[in-house]
Amino acid sequence: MSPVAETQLWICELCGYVYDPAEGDADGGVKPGMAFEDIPDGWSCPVCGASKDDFSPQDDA
Amino acid sequence: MISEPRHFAALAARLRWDADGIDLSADRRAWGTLEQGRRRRLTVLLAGFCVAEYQVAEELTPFEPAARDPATAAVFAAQRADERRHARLFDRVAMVILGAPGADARSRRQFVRALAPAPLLDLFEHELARAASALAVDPSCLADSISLYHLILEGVVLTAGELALLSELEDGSLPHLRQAIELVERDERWHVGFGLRCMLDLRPAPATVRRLLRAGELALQAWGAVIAPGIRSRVLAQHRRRLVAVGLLPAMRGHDVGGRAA
Repeated sequence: MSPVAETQLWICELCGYVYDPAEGDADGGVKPGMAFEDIPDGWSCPVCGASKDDFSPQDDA
Repeated sequence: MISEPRHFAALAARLRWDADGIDLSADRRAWGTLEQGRRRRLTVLLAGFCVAEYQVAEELTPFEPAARDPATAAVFAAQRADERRHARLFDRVAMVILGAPGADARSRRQFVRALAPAPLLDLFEHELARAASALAVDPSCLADSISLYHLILEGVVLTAGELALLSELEDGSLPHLRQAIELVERDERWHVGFGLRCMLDLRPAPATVRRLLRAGELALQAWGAVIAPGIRSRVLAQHRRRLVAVGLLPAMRGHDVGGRAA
């Protein structure tokens, strides 16, 4: 995984949640340091439950 | 982490739709063919939404002047437009699907009130109204008001109602009504996200946030038996998870990757 992917923020287009690899998603079982691309497909947005497909890279990351 | 207010303003503009542009006439015809128990459950849910969406549209008014900055105030204004759209949609549902008589929205709402669960009426007509009245005279109540409005009523009660409606409508019997509920549910997602953004900015006391868990459980009971246990547990798990994800609650011991609770 490239250094860019490891720091790239991803935003849920439905609710505004921002996935930050530095934070992970502890309650969703995603440890800090995991790039968004490496999260399993079954993971969902912790705020609204949307799927990974509803996320896009945040431009100003 | 959650987006800045300007993101929500852009999202609201992008997701706009027309409550009068959804033709419910075919669904009205199909309504009469539904099995009686299913029609009864749908009636309770739809009547509840007719009252709830009217109330949230009305009671959002004092939030905008209480906002700490113009960008946040602008998002409250955008949300109010959404809520009015939802109220208009459910007034049409009352007329067309539920057959509510009356020449205006107020008289139709009086008709459907009798079909909605009493605890739900209390939540939206009394508890929310009290919170909005308090906010109108004291802007420092904003965190409490957002807790109730965005996180409990929208994030738990209405979300559970929408999931129940979508489940009842899953077979496509009333396709245009289902499409309308999907649009409302989509709007609700950003409203909840925006509420979380506001809460982060307002830095509520940890005890206030912890109380939200129990408050969500209690509020969800207002629907009664029309919310299936599976939807109930899913919505409450998501409620807890979102509070943790944005840092309002401390993280719990993690599950395995992909083994989400909600």
